Amino acid sequence: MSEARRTFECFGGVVTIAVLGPASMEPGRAAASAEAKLLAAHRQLSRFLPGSELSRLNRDPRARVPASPLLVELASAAREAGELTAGLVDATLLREIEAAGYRDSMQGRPEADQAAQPAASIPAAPRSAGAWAEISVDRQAWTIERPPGIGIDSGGIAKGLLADEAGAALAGFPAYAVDCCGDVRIGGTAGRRRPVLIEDPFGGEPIHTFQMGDGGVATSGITRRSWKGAGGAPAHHLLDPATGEPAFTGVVQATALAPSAFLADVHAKWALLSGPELGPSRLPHGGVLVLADGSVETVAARAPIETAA
Amino acid sequence: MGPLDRDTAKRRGRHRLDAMRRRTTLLRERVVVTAIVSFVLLWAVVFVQMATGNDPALGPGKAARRPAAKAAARNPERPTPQAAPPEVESESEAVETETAETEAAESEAAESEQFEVERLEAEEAEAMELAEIEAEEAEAEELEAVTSGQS
Repeated sequence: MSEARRTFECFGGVVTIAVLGPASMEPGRAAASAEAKLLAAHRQLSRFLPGSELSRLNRDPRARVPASPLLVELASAAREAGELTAGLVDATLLREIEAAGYRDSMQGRPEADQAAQPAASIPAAPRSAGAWAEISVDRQAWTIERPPGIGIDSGGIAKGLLADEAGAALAGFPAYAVDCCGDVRIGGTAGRRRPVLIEDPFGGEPIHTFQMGDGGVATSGITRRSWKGAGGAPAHHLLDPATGEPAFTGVVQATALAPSAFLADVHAKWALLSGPELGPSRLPHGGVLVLADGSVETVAARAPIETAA
Repeated sequence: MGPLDRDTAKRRGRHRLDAMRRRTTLLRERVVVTAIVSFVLLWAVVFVQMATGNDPALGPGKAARRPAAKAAARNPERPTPQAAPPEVESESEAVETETAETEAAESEAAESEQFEVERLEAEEAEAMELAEIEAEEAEAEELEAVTSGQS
C-alpha cells in the first residue's frame, strides 16, 4: 500500500491531495483525476476570472439564472453559511470586499504589516438584512434565484466545499486527504488518523497538531490575504457584515474541526468574527484560536464529529 | 495508529480465519461422508454375496478348511470332507482381496483428508500471525501530515 501525493497551485494558493491505497486501486490515477476536477472547478468558480460561471452569474441581470450543479451547490452553501451563523458568515459581500481593495487573487503580493492592527477589537455583527437570505436554488431545474446585483464571493466557502467534493470521490480508498489551501478534508475506509498541523499565523512553527481520521479542518485568519487600505491602514479579506469593513475582533486566526471541510471553514470564520469571548462557543467540535496578543487558545470539542456515511 | 486501524487489521485476520474454518469444516464433513459411504458399500458387497449364497465363511476358504483339518486329526477314521472345487475357492479369495483393497483405499483417503485438515490448521495459525504482524506494521506507519493554514 502506498500513498500518492499531488501538490499544485489552485484557488490562489497551494492544494495537496494524498491518496493511500493498494496499487490495484490506482491511487495515483485517482489523485490526478481529483486534481483535474479541482482545477476545472477553480476555472468555474473563481471570481477573479471574468469568464467563469460565477462571474457570469454575478453579472447576470436575471433574477433566476440556470446554473451548473457545482454553482448551485455554491449558492446553496452561501445560504447555509448565513443560516448557520445568523448572518455573520456572509458570502454575499462581494461588492464590499472589492471596494476594500481585494480585486485580484493577490498571489505573490507582500502581506501587510500585521503589527499595525487597530488598537480596538470589536466583534463583528451581521447585517440587518443579509442578501444571503434571498438566495434560493432549484435542484430540479438547476437554477439559482437571487435579487440581481448581489455578488456571491466564492473565496469564503468554495475551498471547503470543493475539498469535500474531492473527498467524496476518494471515499473508497483506505485513506485520503484533500487540502485546499488550508481547508482540509480527511477520510477513508480504514479510519486511520492523520496528523493535521496548524500553521502559526506569524510564520513560526506549527502551533498545534490534531489527529483526525474522518472530518474537516479549516483555518481562517487575517494575517494572510491582507493589504494596506486607504490611508495605509491594514486591511484583510474577512469583513464585518455590519460595516462592510475588515473585521478586527481580537482573534487573528481561528481553526475549526467539523464533520466536513465546508462546515469547518464556516465555523472557523464564525469564531474569528465573533471575537475572543464568543469565539470558543463557535467551535463545537474543537479548534484553536490565536488572539491578537499572540496567545494560543485550544478549544476542546463539546460534540463528537459524526460524518455522513 | 489508532484503535480503529488495529480493529481493521484484526477484522481482516478474522475474515481469513473464518474462510479457513469453513474449509476445514467442509473437509471434515467430506471425511465423515466418505467413511460412511465406504462402510455402506463394503457391507452391501457382503450382503450381496450372502444373498447369492456365496458366504465366504461357508465356502472352502482357509477359515472353513482349518476346523475340518483339526477334526480329521482328532478322528483319523472319519473320512475327511471333500475339498471345494477350485473355482469356488478362487471366487472367495477375490472377494477377500476386494474387501482388503476397499479398506486400504478408505484408510488412505482418511489419512489424506486428515493431513489436509492438519495443513489447514497450520495455515490458520500462520494467517493469525500474519494478521498480527500487519496490525503492528500499520500501527508503526503513520500517515503523512497535512497542514491547515489560513485559506
